[in-house]
Amino acid sequence: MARAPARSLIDVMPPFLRWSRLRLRTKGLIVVGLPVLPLAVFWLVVVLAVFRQSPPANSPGRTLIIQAGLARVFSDLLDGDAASRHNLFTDSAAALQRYRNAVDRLPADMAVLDNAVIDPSLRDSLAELKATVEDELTTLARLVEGQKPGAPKLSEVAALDRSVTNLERVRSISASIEKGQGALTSARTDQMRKTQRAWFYGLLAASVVCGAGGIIAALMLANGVSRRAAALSRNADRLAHGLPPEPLPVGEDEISVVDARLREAARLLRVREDELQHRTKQLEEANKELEAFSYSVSHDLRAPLRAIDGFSEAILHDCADRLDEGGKDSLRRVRAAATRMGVLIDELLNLSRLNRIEVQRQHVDIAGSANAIVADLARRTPSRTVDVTIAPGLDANADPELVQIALHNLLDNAWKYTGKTPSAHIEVGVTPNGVAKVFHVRDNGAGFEMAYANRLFGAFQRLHGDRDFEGTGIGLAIVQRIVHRHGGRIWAESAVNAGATFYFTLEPERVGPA
Amino acid sequence: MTARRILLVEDNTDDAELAVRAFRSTNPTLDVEIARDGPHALMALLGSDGQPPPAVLPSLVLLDLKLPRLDGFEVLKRIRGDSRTRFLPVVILTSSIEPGDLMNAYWLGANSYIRKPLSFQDLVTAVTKIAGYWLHLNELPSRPL
Repeated sequence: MARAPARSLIDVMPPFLRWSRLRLRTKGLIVVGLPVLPLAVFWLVVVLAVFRQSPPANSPGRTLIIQAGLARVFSDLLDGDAASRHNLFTDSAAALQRYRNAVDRLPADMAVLDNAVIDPSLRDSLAELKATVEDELTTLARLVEGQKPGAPKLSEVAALDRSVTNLERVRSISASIEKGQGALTSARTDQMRKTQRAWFYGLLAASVVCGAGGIIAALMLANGVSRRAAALSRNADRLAHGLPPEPLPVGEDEISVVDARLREAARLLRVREDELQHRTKQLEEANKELEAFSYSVSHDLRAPLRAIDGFSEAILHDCADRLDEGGKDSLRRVRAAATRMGVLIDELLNLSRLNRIEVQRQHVDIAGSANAIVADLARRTPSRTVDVTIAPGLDANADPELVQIALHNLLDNAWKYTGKTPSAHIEVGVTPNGVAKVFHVRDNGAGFEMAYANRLFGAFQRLHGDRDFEGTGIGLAIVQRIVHRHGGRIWAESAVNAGATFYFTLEPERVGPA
Repeated sequence: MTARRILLVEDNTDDAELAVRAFRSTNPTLDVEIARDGPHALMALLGSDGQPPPAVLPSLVLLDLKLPRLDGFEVLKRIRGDSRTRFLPVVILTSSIEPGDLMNAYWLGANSYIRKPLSFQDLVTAVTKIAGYWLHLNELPSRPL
């Protein structure tokens, strides 16, 4: 609501004045162009003044030409007058010649004046001057041509008077022309001074206004850009923290475009995040289902097995007299199968439980653990003689319970697969590889073909038949899962009848083969 | 001396019959009463709206956890909540090996917890030992019934 008046003010402005709606490019052009504008006008004026120069009617040079021209005309007329008088009274040929020279010079000097005087107000005076000069020439010609030596005639006296009058007129007209031209020149100088002053103040004012406008525009641009850029970066931060973006200060420039892109990216990110959450939830549900399944396996699958075993026993007990040995043997096999299936189910459950147990690392005495397991194996199969070497002081930082299970499975395997080896030997040791301790359990038993090594660690995968070596095929799967829960890896090397070596680590390796 | 009586709470008929057989094979005079679900077990011990409680309580209750209607935990809770049966020996006999179930059972006052063995022989061994211990305990003269 608070912003409504500001918006309406912006809306009624002409488009080029809606500063906040302008693109950064336009704003930049204004910032640079505004102060440069008076400079451009100045140069335009200078260029025009240089190339469109026309000689004005009132330049000081013209005044000088006119002054000189007037002086020459007057002096020509004076010469002519003096020579003609001389000739009139002496009939001197030399004087006549001076008269002719003066009259001959006159047209050229008059032409100079005719060219120089262009102001309309002076052209009238010039015309008057021309007429007077013509009259004077006629007068002088009459004096020269008509005269004979002796006393002048009356007409000649009149001509002499007329010449004097003409000369007076010429002098007066010349003075007036000269004066007019002088006035024109000084007026022009004043005019020029005024024009120069006007241009000076005009350009000064334009420079000040445009310079100030440019500075204001630059400040507005800088302020707007920095505020909007700051808001943009705040928005980026907010989006990074999962908060909704704030509205940007009013504007429609390139920053708004970036902001819009940012919002779109954030929206897409939220969509992805929702998807991810949805999938995580699905995964959690699947895990829960799996747990429920495990529970149900432990609970429900064992019940029929109990019945199979129990009622087989009941038959053996109740109907012993009606069963022959074959029947009894069959029932015993049924019971053995039920027991075996029970073991399988239990091991499967153990395997699935390993995923739920949290690995709690502490110092584990691996050598002690291995010794205890071997002692237990020896106690359970007193008939076997196995040479066992366990490196003293073997230890690790791992989950004791899980490591115990893994060791038990590995040693149990080694014990089992050396069952048909004459001088059985089992060795437990460690080789640091520079990054992690690599433990190994080595035997000289039946071994396996390396071609099937990738099947070793799969649940229920067996490389030996039950006839040779009994087993459920779950032991190494459990070992592998324990090793993986510790971030370690496990692998085996073997050859048929040449024993097998199982290597494993109990910590992540940042260097080395994956 | 009256024949000793055991209440077996078990919904699975096979398991119930096998348990009865196991008891009979060790002590043929034992009287084993079977309740198929939680409410029936409680009725046999505490009576209900229409039914009076039994004059003599069984010497031992073998209780499965997974039962129709009221589960074993709830039944155990009610047994321990009633003054008449507060000290009645209750042994859990279940197929669950969930650590949570075991802790919960002891927390609610179970006297012992047996996982149903797969093999009938193991079942016989288990019930012989458990029943023998708790029945013997009940015969001590100082202990009121």
